[in-house]
Amino acid sequence: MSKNSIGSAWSLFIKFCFSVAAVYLGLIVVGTIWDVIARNSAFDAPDWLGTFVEFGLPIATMLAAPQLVRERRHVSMEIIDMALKPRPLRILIILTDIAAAAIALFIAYYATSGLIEAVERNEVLRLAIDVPKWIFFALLVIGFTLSAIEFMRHAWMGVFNLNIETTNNEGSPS
Amino acid sequence: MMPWYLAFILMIGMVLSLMVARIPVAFAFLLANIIGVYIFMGGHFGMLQLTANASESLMNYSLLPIPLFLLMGELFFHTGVAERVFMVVDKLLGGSRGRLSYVAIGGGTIFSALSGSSLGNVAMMGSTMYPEMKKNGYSDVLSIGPIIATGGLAAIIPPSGLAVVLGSLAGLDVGYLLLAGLTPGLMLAATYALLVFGITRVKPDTAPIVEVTKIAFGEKMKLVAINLLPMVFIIFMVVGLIILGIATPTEAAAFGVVSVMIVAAGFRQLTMSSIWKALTNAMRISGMIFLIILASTTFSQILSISGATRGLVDWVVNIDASIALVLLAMGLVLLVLGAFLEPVGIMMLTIPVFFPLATSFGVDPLWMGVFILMWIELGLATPPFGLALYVMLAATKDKSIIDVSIAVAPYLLCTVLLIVLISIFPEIVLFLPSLIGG
Repeated sequence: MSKNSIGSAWSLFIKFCFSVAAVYLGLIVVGTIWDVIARNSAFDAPDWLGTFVEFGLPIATMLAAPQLVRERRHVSMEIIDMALKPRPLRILIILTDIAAAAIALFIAYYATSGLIEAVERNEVLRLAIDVPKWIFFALLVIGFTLSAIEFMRHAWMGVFNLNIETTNNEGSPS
Repeated sequence: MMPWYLAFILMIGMVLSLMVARIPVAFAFLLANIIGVYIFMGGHFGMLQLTANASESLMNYSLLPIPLFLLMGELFFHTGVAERVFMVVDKLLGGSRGRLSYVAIGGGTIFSALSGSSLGNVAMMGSTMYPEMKKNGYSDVLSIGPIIATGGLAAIIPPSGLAVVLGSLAGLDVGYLLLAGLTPGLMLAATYALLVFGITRVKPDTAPIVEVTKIAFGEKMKLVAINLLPMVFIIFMVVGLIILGIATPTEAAAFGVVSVMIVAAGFRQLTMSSIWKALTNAMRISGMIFLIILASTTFSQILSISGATRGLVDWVVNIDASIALVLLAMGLVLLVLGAFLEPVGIMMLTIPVFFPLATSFGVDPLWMGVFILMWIELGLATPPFGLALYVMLAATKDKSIIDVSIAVAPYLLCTVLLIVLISIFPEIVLFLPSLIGG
């Protein structure tokens, strides 16, 4: 399998996760309306509906996170941009990408520990239906690990572009 | 145990420094939390608690209106229904001087009542109205100014996504808070219109009269009936259902989404492509907001556990500062933060400190919520980094940040005046919620 096809498959996977999050958002609307109609009519809403809606935000947020990292949608304060020249700024952005990746991996590590503990203790959350607690931790593991990979990808691309720039500058006639 | 002021400086200083170093806001909160947890909550077990809290923080039913209000706004934009609102307000105003400025204020206010996003509002009006204003020779203060100022109204006029975030973070009744913002929001819109009227009287050349085709009264009424009445239906489905106590804010938001789809379908403007675009864009903004909320949930707990919140409140109470001085200080902090940070981040930083402080002075929490929202609206348009300025800058192309900042300055002054007014007469804010028992 070539590098390009791995890259395309990865991009597709991240986009797919984001699309599932967007669809879930639509389903939250449907679920909420369904619940209100059922409550005010002779029909009963299924037990799982409330839990499905409540789970919407953590699931959608974690599934959307990697694509948002890719699109640089997670806002950052750009106050320092004006004070730095282009090259130091690019180096700073690479460093912040690496830092963000490290933070995400750290959280993913502790979420994995939480997941293992939750499985061992057989912990459940008592909602309208019982939900195993490890699912929450699994969401964090997935969301933060994929986000860390995307941050590292940005950092890698940044380093690659810096190298190209350096090579071009050294090669160009003065 | 670390003294409260050191804990306060450490936590706030750390998160601000990380943000200044360009770490994304959500990840800056996470790193500050990690360090805070190791110092104040006992390392490893504190970290396990942090991750457990983080995952459960979003299982909050009261946060659900945020993506739904955003979805409403995006549906308006992508189905083209929003353009109809502006078209009708435009036709109704005829050939009056400053007509397009009034259209921006009138249409923007209606759109604020239909969508919950300030920046979306500025972006839409900036791209659709500004070129027309420029072509007709409007000055910056009558073109850029009202667009940015009215865009900010979405933070106050219900349904406001920011009010929902604030309500759920501060433990306020979101329905009451949404209602509390209605009167100040409408008053602000009226003040902007008065300002435009004043400017066009003093300097008529800043808004040349543009000849428009006159339309008969009957034709105007027909336009209103076809294009604006359905909007009343949407506003009722959101705000009306909350006021009547029929639906919770989350349910009302879901009904709002469906009602926009019904109206768009009625205009034959609802397509699968517009729905998908609206869903993905709403998800982009929601994903960004919720990651910040997830990351910063532990932040307020750490501030509390470290004794920083209690210590600050006791200190302010003991120095015998007047409530006016305390509110002014809070306002200035919000203004400064607003010039650098995005609104949800500001709330995350300030609510854990400001609400206990205000409560200790006997300030009504609902009033405090609106007070914070108004300062945040102000911060969105405050140079040098107010986000609304940059959204507008993208639409203007040939203007500098200084031009945009000067153009919006008189409108910001109106907002400051209204903040003073609601401080003297809190009933302006509290009257509507009190009608339904708030």
